[in-house]
Amino acid sequence: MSATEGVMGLLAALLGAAAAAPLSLVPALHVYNAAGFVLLGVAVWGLPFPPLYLALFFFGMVTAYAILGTVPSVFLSAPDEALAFIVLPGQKYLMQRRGYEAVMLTGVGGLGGIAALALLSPVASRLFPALRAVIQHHTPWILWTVIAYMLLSEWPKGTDRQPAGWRRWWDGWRSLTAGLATFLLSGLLGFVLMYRSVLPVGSAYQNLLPAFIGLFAVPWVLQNLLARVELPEPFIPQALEVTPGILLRGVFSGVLGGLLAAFLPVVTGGIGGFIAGHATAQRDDRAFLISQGASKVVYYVGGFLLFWVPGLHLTRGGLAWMVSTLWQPRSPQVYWLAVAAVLLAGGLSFLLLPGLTRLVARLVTRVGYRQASAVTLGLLLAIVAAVPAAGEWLGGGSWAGVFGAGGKGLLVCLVASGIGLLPVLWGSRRVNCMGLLLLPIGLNMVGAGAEVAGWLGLIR
Amino acid sequence: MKGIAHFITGVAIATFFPEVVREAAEGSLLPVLGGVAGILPDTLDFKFARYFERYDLEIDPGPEPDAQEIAERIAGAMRKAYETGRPQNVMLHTVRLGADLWRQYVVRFDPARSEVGVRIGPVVTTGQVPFPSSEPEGAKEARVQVGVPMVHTYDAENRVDIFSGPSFRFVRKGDRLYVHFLDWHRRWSHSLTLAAVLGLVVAGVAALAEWLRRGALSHTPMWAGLVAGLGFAGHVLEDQLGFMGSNLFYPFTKERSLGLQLLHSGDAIPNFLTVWTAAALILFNLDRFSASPRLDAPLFLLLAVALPLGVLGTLYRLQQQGREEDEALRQGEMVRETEEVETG
Repeated sequence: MSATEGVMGLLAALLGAAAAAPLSLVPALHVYNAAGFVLLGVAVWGLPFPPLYLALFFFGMVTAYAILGTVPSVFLSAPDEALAFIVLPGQKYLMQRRGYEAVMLTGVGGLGGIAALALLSPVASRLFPALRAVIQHHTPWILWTVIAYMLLSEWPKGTDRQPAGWRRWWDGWRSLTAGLATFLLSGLLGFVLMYRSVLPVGSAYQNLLPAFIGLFAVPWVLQNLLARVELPEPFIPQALEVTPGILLRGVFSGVLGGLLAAFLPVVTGGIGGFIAGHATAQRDDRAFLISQGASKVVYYVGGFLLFWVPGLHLTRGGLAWMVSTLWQPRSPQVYWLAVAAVLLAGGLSFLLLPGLTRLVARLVTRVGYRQASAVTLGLLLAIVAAVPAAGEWLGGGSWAGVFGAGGKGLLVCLVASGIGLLPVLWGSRRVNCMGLLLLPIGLNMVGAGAEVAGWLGLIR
Repeated sequence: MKGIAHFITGVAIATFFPEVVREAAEGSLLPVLGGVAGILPDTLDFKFARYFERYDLEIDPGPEPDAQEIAERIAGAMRKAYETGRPQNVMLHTVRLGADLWRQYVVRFDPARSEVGVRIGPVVTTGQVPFPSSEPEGAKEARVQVGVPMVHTYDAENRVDIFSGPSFRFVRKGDRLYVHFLDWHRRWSHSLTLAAVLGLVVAGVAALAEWLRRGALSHTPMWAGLVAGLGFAGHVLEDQLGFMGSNLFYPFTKERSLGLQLLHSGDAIPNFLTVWTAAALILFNLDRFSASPRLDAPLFLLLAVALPLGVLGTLYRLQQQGREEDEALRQGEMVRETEEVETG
């Protein structure tokens, strides 16, 4: 690889970060959707430059998204599956006029995550192949361990006002039952989408988008609309109140969670961060926000970086799968170029974060939180309809097919929103919505997926 | 200790059996059973036992809570326990104002002055976000003299806000009054006898299921029983490292045996060290029971287990110097153990 190729590659990464910056502010528009459209375009029109540049362009995009995607999660309560945990403390901060601080703390965590990835990069080619060799035959039960802990670690949320005995027990167990129902119903939806999706084949690459938006983003926004939440004027502090201890604890815990999520299939950054938060007994909101930022960056960026690690080339996450259809990294030089691209794109994204956060904060305050929530809801529904429709259109579908794909996307989102509202109404954990992925893939991994799909009448 | 530490300890114990690891590599979920058994003692307490606890007094402050009245009723129950010698079990209810609104209040025991303090706090959401300036006008802490000698106990504030409130048991021992926080916890569920019973039951049920399905028996039910029993016992023994201890041989013993007082179950370092060590041991076991082990065992154990234990263990010991009195630490441990990370 020549020096010119290296410089061009880094420029491609910076360009990717710059392109993803405004897209990251659009609620619920996932970086994988944008990358999917680029790849569809490549499939239709071809690629006028070496695929390495496209891969590095994607690196810039995913890095920017991992850092800047926090802004709509906090200000508009529209998280993706990796940031679903941030909404609750994020909203707490937002209502205390500290939305800017919440975003910046998460951004600092993201920067910490990038630093950790850079520190790990020299040992990655020794560490991760060995780790993969040890656990590769054990991923099914490890995934079920994550599921079991997620379900068992939820506490009941009754008020204990019923007389002692079974009535009081049921009062507490209602929220737990709702949590289990959420997990099972979202798992059932996952089975339907994976075995017999209602979306047409042309939209198959965006199969889960309407479900994720319905499960995680729509319920929050509806709640904000119905609760008539009004946002106080945000306060922009000159500095963040974080001690080195809190910073280190948050980054450390987030990096652990992100690595867990990046390395294990199906486990998202949110779940990884949740487990790492429990493991490090976190009780401080600032450490939590920092850890979620670090976890998200390590999950998205680190997950994609695993694809580039010499001797590993692990395809984890949507971006690695998409890029692997076009190009495979072949040399250690390319790996180091990717590490440099992450550092550059991460630095640029962090520099953009304060300005973009102020912009969104001003916009939301000026428009009003309810109006902003209504616009967000409109945007969410538009994306849910537009993304499958665009996939169908780019795939050469008819106009009827294009409109049909959009309508079916809305239908899936409607069903998913119904399930996503269960935790809101019953006070259970929203992470149970991850049953969408965890249940069908967990059952597939232990060889029971097809049998269950057969019972459900999804396959014959 | 926190749930995750017990859970992963149960998983780690399961991986010490080569047969369990080999079956797991072929799709068996036996290590998950170890994790489930590991968290089971707390599940029994927090998801079952607490609901069947009977109270002598339930204090429901109503929508307009009166700090003085709450403090007087608590102090009254304490005096009654002391004067009659009969323990008093008291529960404090939360104040729900709307679907997502709660009135917070705070209760504090001050053993040095033999007082109970109650203060009415702000209106909060279910996410525990306080509404600015929502405290009652001129709200001050109401303090009531109990007038009996109290054992120095956990004296930090007990915040009562969302869902269910805390419970206390006031017990006279000799000429002093003890305040037990969450008395239903670790009373019978954290027992080694129960661990043995669980192991036998799981093995029996697994054997029955296998016999009905295949008409023959393998060693799997035995491993299932062993993994479940040891996972459960691991939880009990880990908690015994703390201050409160457990009723180790219920139903043969009636009281909790004091813990070894080596750590505080709610503290970050011991919890993280437990999770880290368990995860390292799981990796170590998966590797050494695989067809072609890759890890250099002494080096791995030195770097991944001994080094963190040494460094963080020393740091923790230094942090521990000059802390509170034992009874306060025991009761504080019960309170902190309930403070799980709840993030949505």
